[in-house]
Amino acid sequence: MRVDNPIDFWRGAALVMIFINHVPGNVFAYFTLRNFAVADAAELFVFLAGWSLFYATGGVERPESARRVWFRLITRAIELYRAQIVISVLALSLFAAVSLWRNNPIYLEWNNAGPAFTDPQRALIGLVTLQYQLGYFDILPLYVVLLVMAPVFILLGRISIPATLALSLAVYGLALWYRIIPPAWPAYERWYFNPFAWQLLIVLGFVAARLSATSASFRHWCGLLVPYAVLILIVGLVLTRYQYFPDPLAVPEPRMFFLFDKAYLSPARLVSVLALIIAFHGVFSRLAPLVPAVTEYLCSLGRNSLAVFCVGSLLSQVGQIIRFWNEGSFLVDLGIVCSGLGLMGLTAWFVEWRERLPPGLARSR
Amino acid sequence: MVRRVARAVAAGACAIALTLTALTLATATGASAQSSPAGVQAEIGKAPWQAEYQASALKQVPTQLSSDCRVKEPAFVGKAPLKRLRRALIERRPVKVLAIGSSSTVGIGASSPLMAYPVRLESNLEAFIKGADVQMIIRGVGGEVATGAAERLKLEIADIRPDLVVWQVGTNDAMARLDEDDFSELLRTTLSWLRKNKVDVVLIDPQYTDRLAGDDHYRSIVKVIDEVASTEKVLLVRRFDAMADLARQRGASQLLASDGLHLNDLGYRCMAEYAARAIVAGILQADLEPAEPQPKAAVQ
Repeated sequence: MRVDNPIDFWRGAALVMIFINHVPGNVFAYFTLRNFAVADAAELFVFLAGWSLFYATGGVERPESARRVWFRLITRAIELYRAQIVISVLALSLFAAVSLWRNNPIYLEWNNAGPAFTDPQRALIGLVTLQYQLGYFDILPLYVVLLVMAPVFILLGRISIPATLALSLAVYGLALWYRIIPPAWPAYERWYFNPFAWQLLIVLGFVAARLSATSASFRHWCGLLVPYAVLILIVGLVLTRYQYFPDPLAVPEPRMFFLFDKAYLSPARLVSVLALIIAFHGVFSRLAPLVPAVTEYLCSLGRNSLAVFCVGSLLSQVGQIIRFWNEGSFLVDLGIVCSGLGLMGLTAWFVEWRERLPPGLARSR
Repeated sequence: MVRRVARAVAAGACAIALTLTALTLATATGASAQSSPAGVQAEIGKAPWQAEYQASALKQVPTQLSSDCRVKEPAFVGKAPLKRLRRALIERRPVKVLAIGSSSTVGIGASSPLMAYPVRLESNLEAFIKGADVQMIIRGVGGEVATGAAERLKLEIADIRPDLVVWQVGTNDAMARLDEDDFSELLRTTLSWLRKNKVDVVLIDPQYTDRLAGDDHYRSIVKVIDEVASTEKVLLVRRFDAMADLARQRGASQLLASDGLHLNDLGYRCMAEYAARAIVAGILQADLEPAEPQPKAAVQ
């Protein structure tokens, strides 16, 4: 088990915010990142994924061979693909079961589930090809594609960081300029997160991890940039609070560069998340001793992010349905959030408990 | 030496990646070039000023609803001129209508996509408005709430530059139990954005089902849409009330798909008919009001 560290901590925090945001309308959603910055927990999560990829592939001391990097990341992509199929099917079954139980067809159309029940033939093909994504089940498909792309960037990054960044920026720029995005089918016409744009963030996470491990001047510069990062965050805070977002009809083409678009990770969002990371990169070491229980909890979520994310995704659907039944009062919201976060913590505990079992008992390892 | 080779390899990798992307792009742009407005330009070029023709043709549209869809209360309310749409008709160019909304726009419950409301609306409009070429652009996302739709709406309008937007709104907000005041505020700001940008809009309010008819929150969302539409002076298709009326006349099962929530073919047919009539009324209203100078952007 890893010791508590800032990456797991912030990843845990992002998982908590993603869960809360996925129960729309609940009171606690007002306190998540997206209401204070031109960025979201998803951006934070993907950047941190890039950071941890650097260490997962051996870091500076023991860089893994190219073959091993490919093998590791493709295996991981397959694992995430399986997770996506499993949680989507579980969510659809949840809607089907609730619909039968309450004798109400409304649940069959929850979060874009409609095609799965009215047009199963196409929906099933869409599901296994990641083209059919239920609402709020759109992060893992992004991740699968990012992991398949990642070995190219990781191996190139070992040779030349400028070349890696240039390649990544070129793909990002072209995706935004020409609006290249994977299609969705049979419903909605595009992916919620564009992997060709979001790959830049995972690459930046990876590059930042590499530089901060190898270059003292990079760390020095990050320190110097803190005041500017704070300034950017304040501007972002004002824009977000006053809902001052660019008007699609007022900005010039190519529009995606100027809007605050989430699918395409517009530059404004990218800058915001980078500012956030620069401004907060030293906070963990000061914050952790003050709130040891919170640190321990968030780090345990971060260490087991896939399992926690999957359980959180399903719990958020349960939360939405409970909110619908109860017309969402404060107490209901409190109950949903507390039990959701509790169960996510329990999931993390369970995964680590199973890993501690003697090899003979933990058969599936 | 090793470094130099490594650099060269890196540069090579970059070049290959760029070429690949460029190739992808070439196909992508090739595809989009087909939908360029060259045809539109040609239409405008040969079209004379034919205002009288359009107006007189529209006046011949029978005012009575078809017998299957007849309801007691008016199926749509509001007296808003659809000026941009009228302009497009006068210039005899294809009329671009953006249908945005959730599952009713997708056509869940219809026996085929051709029976869904946007497609029927297109043929209704072409039948009502002689000589019109209506291009329906369908952008439905099942389960989407209004905050998402409003954002998408602006982006789609910037991309498509439609002459009319038909926005089916509210069902999912009611189901997610979103706050009525937040919803009302969002609707208001989006409608005023549309007005500021001279985009004509017709709203369609939520779906009716007998299970939701007694739900206070659901009804209050329907009411909020009614209020906002009347203060913002936009046309509103009162689907909830009309469908409730039809359900009383003949039993809900006649209108709804087997899931009891989504419209079936008949339900979609009536929904499209109400929308088409609202639009015709909006064009006629625009005939009564003096035309204002048109910004160039609209004729793109």
